[in-house]
Amino acid sequence: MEINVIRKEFRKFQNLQYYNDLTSNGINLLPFNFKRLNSGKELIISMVGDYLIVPNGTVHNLVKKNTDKITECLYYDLLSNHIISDSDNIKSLELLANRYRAKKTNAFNFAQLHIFVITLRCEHTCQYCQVSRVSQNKEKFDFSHLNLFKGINLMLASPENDITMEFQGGEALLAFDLIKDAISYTKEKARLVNKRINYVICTNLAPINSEILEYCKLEKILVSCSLDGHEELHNENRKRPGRNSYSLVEKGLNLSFDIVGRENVSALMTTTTLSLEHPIKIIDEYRKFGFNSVFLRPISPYGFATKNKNSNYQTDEFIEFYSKGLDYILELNRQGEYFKETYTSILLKKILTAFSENYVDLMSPSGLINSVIVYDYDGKIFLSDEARMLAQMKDFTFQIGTVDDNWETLLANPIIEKIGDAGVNDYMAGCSTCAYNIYCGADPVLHHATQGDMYGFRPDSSFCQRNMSVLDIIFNKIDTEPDALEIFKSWVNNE
Amino acid sequence: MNEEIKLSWKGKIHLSSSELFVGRVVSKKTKNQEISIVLEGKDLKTNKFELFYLNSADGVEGNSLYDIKDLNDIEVCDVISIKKSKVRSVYRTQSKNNFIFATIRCNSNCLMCSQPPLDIDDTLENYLIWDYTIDLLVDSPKHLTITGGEPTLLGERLVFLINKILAKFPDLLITILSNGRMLALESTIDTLSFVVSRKNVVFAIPLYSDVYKVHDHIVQAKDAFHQTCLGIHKISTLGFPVEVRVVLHKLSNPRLLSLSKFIHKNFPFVYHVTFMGLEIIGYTKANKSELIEENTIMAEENLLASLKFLASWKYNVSIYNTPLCHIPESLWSYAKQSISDWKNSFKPECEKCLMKKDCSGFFTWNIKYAKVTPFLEKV
Repeated sequence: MEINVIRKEFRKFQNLQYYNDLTSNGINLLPFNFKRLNSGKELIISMVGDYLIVPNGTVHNLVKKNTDKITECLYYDLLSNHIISDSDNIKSLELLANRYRAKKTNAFNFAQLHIFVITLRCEHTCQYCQVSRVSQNKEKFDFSHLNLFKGINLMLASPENDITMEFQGGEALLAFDLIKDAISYTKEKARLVNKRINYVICTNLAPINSEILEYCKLEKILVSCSLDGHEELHNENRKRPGRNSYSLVEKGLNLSFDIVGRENVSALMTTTTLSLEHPIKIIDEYRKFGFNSVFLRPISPYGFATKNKNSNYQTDEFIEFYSKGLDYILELNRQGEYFKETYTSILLKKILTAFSENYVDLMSPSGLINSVIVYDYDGKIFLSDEARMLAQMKDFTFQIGTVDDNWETLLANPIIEKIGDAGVNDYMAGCSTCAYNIYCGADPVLHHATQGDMYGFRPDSSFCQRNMSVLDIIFNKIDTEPDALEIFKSWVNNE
Repeated sequence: MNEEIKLSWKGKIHLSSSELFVGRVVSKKTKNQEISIVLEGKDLKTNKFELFYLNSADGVEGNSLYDIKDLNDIEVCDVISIKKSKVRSVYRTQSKNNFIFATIRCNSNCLMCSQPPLDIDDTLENYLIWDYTIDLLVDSPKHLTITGGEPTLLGERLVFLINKILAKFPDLLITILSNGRMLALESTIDTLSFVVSRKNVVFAIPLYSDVYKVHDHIVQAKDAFHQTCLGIHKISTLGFPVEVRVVLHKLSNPRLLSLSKFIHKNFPFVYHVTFMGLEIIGYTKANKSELIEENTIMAEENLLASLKFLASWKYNVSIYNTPLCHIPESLWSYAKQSISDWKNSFKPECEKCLMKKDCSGFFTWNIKYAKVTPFLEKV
C-alpha cells in the first residue's frame, strides 16, 4: 500500500464516546466505605485508602445508580479514586491489588522491633506503671547473661535484616553494664549474619551521666525518655523519693542534647487524669525543650493502671484533651512554627499517601509477630509490651515461649493462629463496614484484656472509640479548615 | 533565528549505492562551497567493509551519492546511514540530543502525535543500523533517547541494543519514550528483565488523564489507560526509574490537578513528572480545534495548582517545551530547556530578550504560530 493511503487510514479519529465502557447495566460499585461529616457532606474512602469528600446524597445516588444526579466532575473523581467502575469487569483490578499490597506491606514482614526488658528494677514509683519493682535484687529482676544471649541469638535468627533493639525497664540504665554486654555480644554476632542493628535505650533519665551518654554516642544509641509535662504534673505522675523526677529529666535532657545531639533524643508522654486539664501546658513543655513533636498518648487501659484513680478516665475525656491539644498545635503551625502531633501524623500518612506506617497499634494484620517481639527480664517471650503487662496480672495468653525455645516452636504456638484471625479488621464485625477500616488496626491484646475477647466488641471498645474520634476530628478539619490539609501534609513530609 | 538542523537528505546515485550502508564520517572537505564527505563503514546486507562518498556536487568513483543539498550539518565522526538514495543522520557527535529511532510503528495513535506512526515493519532495519552504530561510537553520548513509534515493539532487540551500549558506556543514561501499554504484558516484562543496568534506563511514559476514557480518547486506543497504569507499576517493580509525561492541551488541561493527585496516590515512586507543551506538527495540525487551548487562564491556574501539589509532595517536577514568556514567573523555576537541538528555534525578537539563555525556545514548527514578549529589562 502507498504510504499516503496508510496515513489517511490512520487519521480516522474516534470521539470520546467511543471509548466509554459504560453499558446499559450502569455503573459498578467497587468496595468502599463511607461516613457523614459534621458539615453534612459525605466522606467516601476506597479499599486502598483514597478518600473523597462529596455532597450529601452521593452515596445514595451511587447505590441507586442515579448517575444523572451526579456532576461529570464528581463522576470522574469517583472513577479515578477507585470508588466506581464503568466496565463490568474491573480493569483496574491488578493495579488495585498492587495498591492494597502497598498498604499492607507490614503483613509480609517479621518483627523489626525487638524489646529487651533488661531489668524490672526502678527507682521511680510512677502512678500508672504496671510492672516495675523498687528493689536491689539484681538476681531476681535482671536478665541473666545466659538468657540475654539466648534472646539475642533468637533476635539475630529472625528474618529481618534491619532490626531495632530496644532496652526497656524498669529503669533500663540501672542495668547499664548488662546493656553494654548485650550490645557488644550483638555487634559481634550481627556482623557474622550481616544484619544492621539500631539501638534504643528507654530511660527516665534519672541515672544518666556523661559516661553513659559518651557510650551512647560511640555506639549510636538513641535515647528515649519520659516527659509527662510541666514540673508539677510530671512529678505527680512520676513519683520518686525526693519528688525531683522533673529536675532530673531537665538535667538529663540537656546533657543528652549536648553529648549525643538533639536528633538522637526523643521523649514520650503518658496521659493521666491529672494531665487531662493541661494539654497546652504539656505541649509547651515539649516546645520548651526544643522538641518539634509530641505524642499525646493515652494510658493502656489495663493492668495495674485501671486500678489507679489517676489512670482511670474515659475515652471521651481523652479525646477532649487530644482535640484541645491538636487545635493548639495547628494554631502554632499557622503562626509559622513547625510542630506536630505524632499519632495524628501516623494516621495522616495512611490517609494522604499510598503507603502505611509501621505502628503496632494501627496495623491490620496486627503488628504482633510482624512488627514487634518482647523478651522479658526472666526469659519469657511475649507478643507485645502490653502482653507482658498482662502476664504481671497472671494472664499468660500472649506468651509464646521462652528464650530456650527456637522460632519453630515459638511460632507454632496456637495463639499465633488465633491472632491471625483476630488481628485482621477487614472482616471483623463493626470494622468491615467502618469508613476508617483501611487506616485503622486491630488490637487483639487490648480487646482480650478489656473485653475478654480478642475479636472485641466495637460499640464499647475504647480502641475503636478513640480511633474513630481521632479520625473524625482529622477529617472534619480537612473538610472545614482550608489550611489544615497543607499543615497536615507538612507533618507527613517531616518539614 | 536558528536554522533547523537537517537529519535526512536525498541524493542521486552515481555508479552504485547500497541497500543499507552504515558508516562513520572520516573526512569532510569544503572547496568552492562544495562539500565532499567520506564515510567508512559496512554494507549491512553483504557485511562488507567499504567507503562511501557523499557530494554536494558531482559524483565520484565507487559507491557514492551526489547532488545532495545542505550537507553542512554533517560533521566528522557522525554516523550516517544510506539506503539507496536516502541519507539519514544516525548519530551526531556534537549533539546532546542523540536518539535511537526504534520504529515508526505504534500501538497508539495519539491525537497530537508529532511523528504519526505508519504500519511498516522497520524494526529489523533500525535494529541493524544501531547494532552497528554502537560499534562505531568512540566516546559515550551525554545522554541517549530511544524513541519511535513505540520502542517496546522492538521486543528483545531493544534489550540487545540497551545491553550492548551500556556494556560499552556503563555511565550512560538512557530515556525510553514509551506509551507503557506493552509493559502491562508479562511477556514484555520478562523480556525487559534481561536488561542488566536498569537504573540507567528511564521509562518516560505519558499519562494524559486520571479518567480512563479521556486518556483512551487522547491516545485513540481502547483500554490504553489501564494498560499504561499497570505498565507503570510493572516496569517500576522491575527496577527501572519511571518518569510520567503529560502533554498540555485542551483535552488534558481540565483535569490536570486530579491527574497529579492520581499520580501521587497510584505512582508515588515516580522520579520525575513533566508537563510538556504541545508540538504543532503531525496530527496536531489536523486536530487543532480539539487541542489548542482557548481558555489559557484556566489552563495556567490548573498547571500552577498541579505543580504546587506535586512539588509539595517532593516530586521532581518540570515544565518542558514552553518558553518563559508563555508562563507566569512563579513557574519559571520548573521550566527546563528541553527541546532537542535539531528542532529548536527562537523568533527574531527573542534575540533582544534578556532571558533567552534560560529559555526553552520553540519547536521549529511552532514558530509560525508563536507569539513572544521579550523581556527587555532584568526580571
